[in-house]
Amino acid sequence: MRRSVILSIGVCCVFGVSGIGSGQQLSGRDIALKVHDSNKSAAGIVLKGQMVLKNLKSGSSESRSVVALSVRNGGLSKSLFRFTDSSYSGTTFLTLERSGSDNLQYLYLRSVGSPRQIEGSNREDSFVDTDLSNEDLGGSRVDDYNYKRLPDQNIGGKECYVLERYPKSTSSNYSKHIVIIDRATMLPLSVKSYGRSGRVVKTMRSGQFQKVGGAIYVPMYMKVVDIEKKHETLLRVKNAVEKQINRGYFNRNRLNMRWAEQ
Amino acid sequence: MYDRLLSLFSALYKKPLAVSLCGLIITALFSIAIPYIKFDNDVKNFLPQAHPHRAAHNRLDDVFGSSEIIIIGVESKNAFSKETVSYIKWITGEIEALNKDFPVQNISRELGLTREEAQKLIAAINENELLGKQALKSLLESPERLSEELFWDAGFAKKIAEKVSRISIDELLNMYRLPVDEVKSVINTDYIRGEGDRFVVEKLIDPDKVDAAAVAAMKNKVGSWDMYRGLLFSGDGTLTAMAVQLNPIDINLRQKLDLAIEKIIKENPRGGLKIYLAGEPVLSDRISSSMGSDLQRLLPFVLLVMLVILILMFRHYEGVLLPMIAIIFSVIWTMGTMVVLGIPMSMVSISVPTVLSAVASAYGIHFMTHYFMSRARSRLEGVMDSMKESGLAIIIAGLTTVAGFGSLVTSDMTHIKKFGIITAIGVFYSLAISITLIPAFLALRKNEKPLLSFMKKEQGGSDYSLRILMFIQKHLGPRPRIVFGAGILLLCISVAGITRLEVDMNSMDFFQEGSDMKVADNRLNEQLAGTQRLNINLETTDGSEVITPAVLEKVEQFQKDITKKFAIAGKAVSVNDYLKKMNQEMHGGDGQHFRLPENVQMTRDYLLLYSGDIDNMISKKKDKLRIHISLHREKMDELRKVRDYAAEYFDSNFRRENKVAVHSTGFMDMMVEANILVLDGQLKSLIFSLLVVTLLIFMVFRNLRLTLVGLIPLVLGITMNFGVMGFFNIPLNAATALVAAISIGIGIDYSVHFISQFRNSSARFTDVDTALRNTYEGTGRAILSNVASVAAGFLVLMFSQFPIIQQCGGLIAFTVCTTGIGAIILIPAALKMIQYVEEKIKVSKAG
Repeated sequence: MRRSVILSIGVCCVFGVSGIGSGQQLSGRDIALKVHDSNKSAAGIVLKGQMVLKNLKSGSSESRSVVALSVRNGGLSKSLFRFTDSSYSGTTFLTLERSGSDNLQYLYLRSVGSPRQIEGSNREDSFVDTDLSNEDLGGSRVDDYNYKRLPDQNIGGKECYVLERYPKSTSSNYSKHIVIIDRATMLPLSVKSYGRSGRVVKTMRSGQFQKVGGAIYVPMYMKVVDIEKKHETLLRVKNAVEKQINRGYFNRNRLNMRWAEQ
Repeated sequence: MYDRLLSLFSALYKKPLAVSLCGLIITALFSIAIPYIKFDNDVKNFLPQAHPHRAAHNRLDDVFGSSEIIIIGVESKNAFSKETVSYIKWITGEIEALNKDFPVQNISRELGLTREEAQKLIAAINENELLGKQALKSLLESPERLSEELFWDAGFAKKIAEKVSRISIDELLNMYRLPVDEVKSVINTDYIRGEGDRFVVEKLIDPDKVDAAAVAAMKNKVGSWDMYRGLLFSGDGTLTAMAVQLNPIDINLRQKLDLAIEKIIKENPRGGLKIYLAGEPVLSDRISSSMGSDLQRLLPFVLLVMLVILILMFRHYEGVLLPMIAIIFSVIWTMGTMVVLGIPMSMVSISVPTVLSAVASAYGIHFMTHYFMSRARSRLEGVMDSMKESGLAIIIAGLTTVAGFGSLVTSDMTHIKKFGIITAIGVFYSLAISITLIPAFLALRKNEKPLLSFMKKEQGGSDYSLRILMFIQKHLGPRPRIVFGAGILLLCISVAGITRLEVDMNSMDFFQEGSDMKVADNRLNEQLAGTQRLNINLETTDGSEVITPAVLEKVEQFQKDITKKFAIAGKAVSVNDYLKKMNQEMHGGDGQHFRLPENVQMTRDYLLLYSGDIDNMISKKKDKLRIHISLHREKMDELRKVRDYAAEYFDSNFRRENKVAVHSTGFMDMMVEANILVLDGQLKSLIFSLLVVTLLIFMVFRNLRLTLVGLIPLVLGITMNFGVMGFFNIPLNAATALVAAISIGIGIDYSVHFISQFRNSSARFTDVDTALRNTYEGTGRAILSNVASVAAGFLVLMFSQFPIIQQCGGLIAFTVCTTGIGAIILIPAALKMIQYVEEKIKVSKAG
């Protein structure tokens, strides 16, 4: 079964349930699978926050309100992401995890009126105009990478796993990623993505992990910086709750409907 | 005034050892600097830093990505083949590997670090570059912080801090920066496809799965979207192009990269594939790299020519050796000064050593001639006699030449301005060396001054040059009006030629027909939409979105009109091409919907939806868009018409109504601007140099009529130069624009020397003919010798591998000859005409 791995973005780390075991014998791939299975909720998780896109060269920035919903069903995740204000208000992104095949991703645009299945040969492409990639929003899978576990580190008082993962595809934009995972929450604290030149081209940092519901942790802020383009996307979660979510939302034909959680 | 100067020189010549040592030390110091000389022929650097088009180019390239692109053309019987795609994949990998290794090589070489140490430093910069330059510098120069924050070993941290503190942060970042931003080709070009509710942005071909079926699918995709034709593939499907987009890096590092790419291609030929390398960075860097070898070939050649001339003139080792030392020292001092002042060797300044060799030889020849002519037996007295006889004329001639070359600083074209500065300095050095070091070296010797055989000829008057001069005086002397009439006729013919003169400076002018660069550029221009790029940038003045229907419709119409109106405009591409394709694919691939989206929201959403890379066409904030125009290589005048048409198309009404500003950028745009600067600079420097030279001659002669007479050969020589250029289709460019100023600088000396000698002769002989004969015997011969030596020096440039340098050398030699011969023929005729007029006035007054 091909399973998605959600290492590089906090938003997606809320999908699922935690299952942290003894870390000493785990291989890099085992840890990746654990992260994938952690912090997911069968009931559902609702996040509300603000996304700030900033041009680090000019200093100009743009702010958008976002709402994200996620739910775990039968071991597979479903997630929704919507801009609720600005000129992109109503733009909605749906990811449906599938077993045995690629995840499905749909984008709803108000002006177009009907959702479009987004099928890019490159999941590393940007998600709309942010610094997040489609892969960050659930497009990648554990088996897309080879893993190497590096010595654990203590960072800011947190015991962390350190993984190096290498894309299997030779046409990937990245040569490797170094991922630091907080052992206590199984949330990634930091991801450094290295370009084909061997340099860090993108970084992700998250923090202020907050417990939501039973054993689910959510990062209350996450910052992705595109070093080459000198552009950053800051996602600040204002409100995170575990609650029962209407499963009907996760339907490609209902992406235009208003959510009670908005 | 000059007496005071002479007493100063006298004091100087009495301490020859000190003066000689000073000269040798200065020469040694400048010699050390010479290896650090840089070569720069980047089109961007033709314009001053603050030039509005350069500023716009830099600002907008920062938004849309660099316009510096190397084009690699891969030609075969069928470009849609597995072999072609495999080669592209291979060469992309090679360039990426080179790109990755380049900063490591540069930093380890320049800072004296091992590769591992350089890699560690690069990683540290990489992780902290967003801190900003100053914060990064402060971190890298602090061993304590490097140890604490990066966990480096104390010894290594200290070593790096020391090395980094020796260079500026800009130099370090320049070495650190990756030279290649992206290699775009068929293996990573986006294709948009819609199937039902699916919207797919994919690559034309997956480089990991190259088989017959994938190649056939790629061919279908390419055929389905016209945007690829002429940019990615030739119309006949035999050639595909790769674009290596460069980051803005130091010009010398870029040259090394270009050479490395060229080496990889040449050393790895593939059967059935022809590879072409083109693009402005490659052209300008090839010019720079070839200039070094050109200089190495031409400089010894010009020195050899000077050596032969000096041997023929003096036939004595002192007469040969000392002017040669003056020439060599002048060149060393000047090239050393170029390094000190940060003036690079360019397509313009490549002629500096030749110019200085020719000019410095003149001062040395004049000084040594009068030294040997002195009847004193003591060397010191001989030196002083020479200074008394010729010193003032040499100094005035030197200063007028400095003024002539210095007039080029009025040009706004950077390389011409810098050429003006450095040659003015160089001529001053030549002058200083000729009147300080040559005398000092002579005075060092204790034995008696030699008496040369040619001295006897001075009295005998039987050498060839004097025979020519006497012939001129005999046949032309009595016919001043005919001479003058002939001069005016030549002037009129030349003016007719000037009307045909064109301004055309193009990188390709540096290459001979049949050279690999010309073959590649021609082939790519034949097969593709053009190798020259012009960008038209539209940006809103209030920061709002530029993607309104009114603006996009205008852009759409412009793209159609410009390619229809100008055959050289091979392709115009903008974000519209993607929007139209997306609209079509969002409507199930229906060709009816290959049009712009209906409203702003839809446009905005399409851009949001598109996950591929269109950052080079629309800014992330959507307040700026760029139209890319590919142009075939043509005369600059034609290219300028395209650029001006583009600027006028988006007229003031459109700009005001839509609150947009329009800027043209790109290499072609800067080349057009450089051409404008060449023409403006030519006019300005011509007027300025004539004014300064007139003023200087007037200060010397204190006689308006003599001053004007002195200008006659110059005016005729310069006019004939431009006339010849017009008749022989030699365009005005960065090199040929120098001819006038150089010729004024050199040619004025002939007038100064001739009139100066004539005034001395007139004091002794009341009859004009006798005074003129005396002038011919004295300075006339020196002028002829000087014309021969200077013209021979510049003719050496005809052996340059660059056609425009050849033209420049030939034209200077021609103009030096016309001004020199003009001085000998026209000045006497003018003087006689003045005498004739004066006599007429006297007669009429008496009557």
